[in-house]
Amino acid sequence: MKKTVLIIDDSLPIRYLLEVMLNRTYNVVSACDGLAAMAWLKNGNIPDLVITDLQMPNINGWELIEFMTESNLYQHIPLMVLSGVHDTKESFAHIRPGNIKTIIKKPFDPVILLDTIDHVLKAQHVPAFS
Amino acid sequence: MNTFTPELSVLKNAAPKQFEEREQTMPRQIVADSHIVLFVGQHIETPELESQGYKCFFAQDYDTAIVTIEQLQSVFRRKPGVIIYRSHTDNQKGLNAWKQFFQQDSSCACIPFLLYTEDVTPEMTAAVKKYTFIDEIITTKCLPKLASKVAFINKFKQLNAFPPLTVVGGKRKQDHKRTVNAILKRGFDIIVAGTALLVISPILLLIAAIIKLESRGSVFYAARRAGRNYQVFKFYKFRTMVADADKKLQQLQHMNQYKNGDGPVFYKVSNDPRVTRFGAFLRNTSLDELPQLFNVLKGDMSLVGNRPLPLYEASTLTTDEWAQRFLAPAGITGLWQISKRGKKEMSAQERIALDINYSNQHNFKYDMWIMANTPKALIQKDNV
Repeated sequence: MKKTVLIIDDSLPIRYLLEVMLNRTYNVVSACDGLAAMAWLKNGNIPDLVITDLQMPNINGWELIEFMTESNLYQHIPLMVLSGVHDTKESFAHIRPGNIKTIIKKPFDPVILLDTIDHVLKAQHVPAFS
Repeated sequence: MNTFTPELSVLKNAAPKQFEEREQTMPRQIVADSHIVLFVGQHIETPELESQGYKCFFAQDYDTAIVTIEQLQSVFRRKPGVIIYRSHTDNQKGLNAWKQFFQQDSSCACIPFLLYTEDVTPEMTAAVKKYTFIDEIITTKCLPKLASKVAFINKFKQLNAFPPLTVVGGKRKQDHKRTVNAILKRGFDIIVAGTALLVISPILLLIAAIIKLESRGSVFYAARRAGRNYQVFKFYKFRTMVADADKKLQQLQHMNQYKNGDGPVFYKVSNDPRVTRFGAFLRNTSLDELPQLFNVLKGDMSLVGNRPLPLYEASTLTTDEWAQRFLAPAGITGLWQISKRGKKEMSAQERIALDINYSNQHNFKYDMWIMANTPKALIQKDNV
């Protein structure tokens, strides 16, 4: 079965680009901010990977990452950060690194991003959610 | 207040004065108090919560919990800020009752509801999936950080009660107009590129022969470029440089026309020494671009669109502001070829702006307009 990747980004072009590029290999769900992502997760959906931006309206990436890494429901899900925020390392000072596999800065090389996603999903044994 | 509320005044007249006074000191509306924790189920020792300033209420089971909530509302005009439900062997009955309660009393549905357990089992995660009112599973470990967790859940629930325009989507719907435009565009591409290739095939053969005769190496030069949706494909040109020209690029960095500025990288060198003599002629006449008609026929790109970029340039444009350019078809000619052609100093930003402009409004008619303006631009150009 295709693995599910949740993309969270408030930039429509980035979301669309990732959707089109990942659609062949994965089941892609995209959300325009942390709120939309949470609403989707709350419906009982568990993705195999989350790729999130940081600066977003309503619920931002830092809040979402903090909640997910502390949550008994979502802490096993690998996270990738794709953000244009500079000094990204410092912006995580107060958050446990948890399951953040990698931080990729925009502009990014989509070819490398695809490789990284593939690598993260293969290396990670994701416990089944029955 | 001048608002007309007959029912309330009747009630006030009927109630004793004491009651009226007390009512005024209480908040009128029932508010959720984030410092009230309601535990349901077996008693849990929570000194750390009390010390954090929480007011803890305990209810043995569902029924007592409901009574407690009602009392909190009628006496203190407060709702609990969080309900912590102690998980036990038979959760089903209790959780079903809660499900019904939240369905009936929608004002309470925004109270964070946490499932408390010693260790998280698959059955429990399954329960969360089934009972969507459960916001989270917590263990003793989580209690010190309860405040931030509850605050997040509260924020989510409040925002989600009146959700702004949010988008969650898998596959995007293709609208009818776009499909028609795409078919017209592809049809036009195949007919024009196919016919052109047939008509100019003698010229192509002649050019190929001269390239072969002039210098060692292959006739075509294929570079990997990023087209629409960052699809990487082999982009064909006639070879205009000596073999291994790519390896010599590093040595020429100092001649780069676009080297000033922190913006995205473009490489363009005037009078590049790697170009062969016939190559220079091909470049000046744009004849080196002719093999791209094969790319058009293959469907890698279109006749009109944004220039497919070499990967080192393309990967600098995947930012929130610029990624839009990749959503449009890639093409041989486009807006920036017909705008200001003949000037060397069009900035990278100007080009991207034109790309994004095209991406936003491209359609078949617009393509035809660009096609019609291309020959004029070709004649005007000089050594760009």
